[in-house]
Amino acid sequence: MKRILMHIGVLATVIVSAVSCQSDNFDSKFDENPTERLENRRTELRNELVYSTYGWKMTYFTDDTQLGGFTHLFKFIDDRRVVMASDFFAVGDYNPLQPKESEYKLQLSNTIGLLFTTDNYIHLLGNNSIVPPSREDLYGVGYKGDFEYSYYSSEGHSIYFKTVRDHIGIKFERATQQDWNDLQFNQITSDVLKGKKKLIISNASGETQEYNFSFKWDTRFARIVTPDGQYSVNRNAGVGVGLRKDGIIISPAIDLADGTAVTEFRLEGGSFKAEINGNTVTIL
Amino acid sequence: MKTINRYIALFSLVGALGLTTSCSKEDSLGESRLKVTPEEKSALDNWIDDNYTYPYNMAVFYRWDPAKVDMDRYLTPVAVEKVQPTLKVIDKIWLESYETIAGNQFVKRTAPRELVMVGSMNMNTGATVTLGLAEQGVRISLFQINSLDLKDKEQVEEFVHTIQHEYVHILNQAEPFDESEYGKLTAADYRGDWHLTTDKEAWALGFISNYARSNATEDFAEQASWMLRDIVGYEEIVAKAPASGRALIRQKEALVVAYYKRAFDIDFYELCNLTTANTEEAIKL
Repeated sequence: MKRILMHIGVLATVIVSAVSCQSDNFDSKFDENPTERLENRRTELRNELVYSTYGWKMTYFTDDTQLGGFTHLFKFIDDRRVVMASDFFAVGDYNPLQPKESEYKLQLSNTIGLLFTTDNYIHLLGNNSIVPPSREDLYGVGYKGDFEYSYYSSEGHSIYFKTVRDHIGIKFERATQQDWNDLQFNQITSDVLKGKKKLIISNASGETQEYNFSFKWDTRFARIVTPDGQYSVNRNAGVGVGLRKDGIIISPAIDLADGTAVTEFRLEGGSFKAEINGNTVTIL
Repeated sequence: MKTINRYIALFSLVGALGLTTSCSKEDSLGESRLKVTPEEKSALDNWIDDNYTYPYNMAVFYRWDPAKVDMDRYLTPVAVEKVQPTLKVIDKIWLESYETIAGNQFVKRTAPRELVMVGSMNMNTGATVTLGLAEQGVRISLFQINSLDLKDKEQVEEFVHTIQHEYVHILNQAEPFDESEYGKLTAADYRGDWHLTTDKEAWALGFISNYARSNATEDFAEQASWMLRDIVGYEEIVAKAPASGRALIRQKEALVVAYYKRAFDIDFYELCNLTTANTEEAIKL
């Protein structure tokens, strides 16, 4: 009896000690804990944003099924202040070509978020009562812009975000002094594009497809449909247009029969032209 | 049996020792891994602290905080240069008036804990606009500040009317009014589509505005806030109203006045006279 009790006792003691001493140490897959990783991501993004000498350029297509792209330039001065300019239209007291300072914040949420916290030109896109004159139906949503972005990655000279509201991918590209100088000329490109009526796709064999082209300056959306009005490029009615001094960028891309696609057009001799793999797309 | 008890005691002792000694590693939680350095305050932040946070126990949010607004709406921040002038006007007409009549502790106790300033308009479906919101009795959100002309008396009256209206809701949450007694005066004429009606129609039916027709709670807040907005202008409206409507508005007025006396010992007419006078001063600030 004594021996049985002794065995039970020893066994119980061993179990109690073993269980009570279980450690929560485990083989971590990361060198830092989640909080440290988030803080490191914040520092990484902060450094990227602040250390770019001429800041960043973003062309934001808020809804490329009906609206175009609006280019913004950001110069992050320190942990709190940012200067921005934009090719959005002048509204009331706002002249977006004139650089203006405001505040921003990098905040922790599901990932690191970039939030523009005080009034500046980026907010004109998200103001429910600023709408394209030709689209009064957009009262309530305006140009559908967001000013809070979740940080995903940075590669080369680009930083990738997604808008918090609509999860639209946006790209910050490292800006140059030339970008700041050239922003004022985007309006001229818009004026030139307004006069264009046709979009022609030619492939390497010389076959062509012709579309009617109609660009609205206020929505920055170009309607591109076949002459009979039955079909449009990408079955999307058209494309959103972002303006450059010497051309345009579009979203979504125009997909071509050979599987390639075009997103950038150069302004050459009064026409906008994109070339890829023997195909030429011309807006004239 | 004695021997068994001795073994039990021995093993219990060993087990207890094992438990206490083996788990004593975590002495300190150490420093927070989150960066908790407070943000640097601007001159405007310090002014807000001195003029709102300390005297009225109220936080003012002018920097965008997505958690303070409806994410489904396309709203934007207030222009920073509008913040201080707007807060001065709000202080003069709303807070200072209540403080003078009811005392600092009253305002400190009943004022919302948060004031959220939004620059853009807040549009609704159905062609209406939300000018202000009172949420859970702790927060007043004000919209359309970027287009507010603080030297324009009518605009300032409309803006402060919104605040007064929302504040009445907050006071009603602290001290409920007799909704059934008040609501039965014009019970048949409340309607959801109030925005399809005019103020003139509302006056004839015993409401001070068309919005007052939405329900008894809004009616009470409208009745009080139209009086606070400009007591002289209010009297002119009542004088213009058809006799049947005028009598009902007067009955509602009496219930509002009685509520303020009973719930807060406030002479409501005295308060209205002061807010009207302070509005004249505020547009000269």
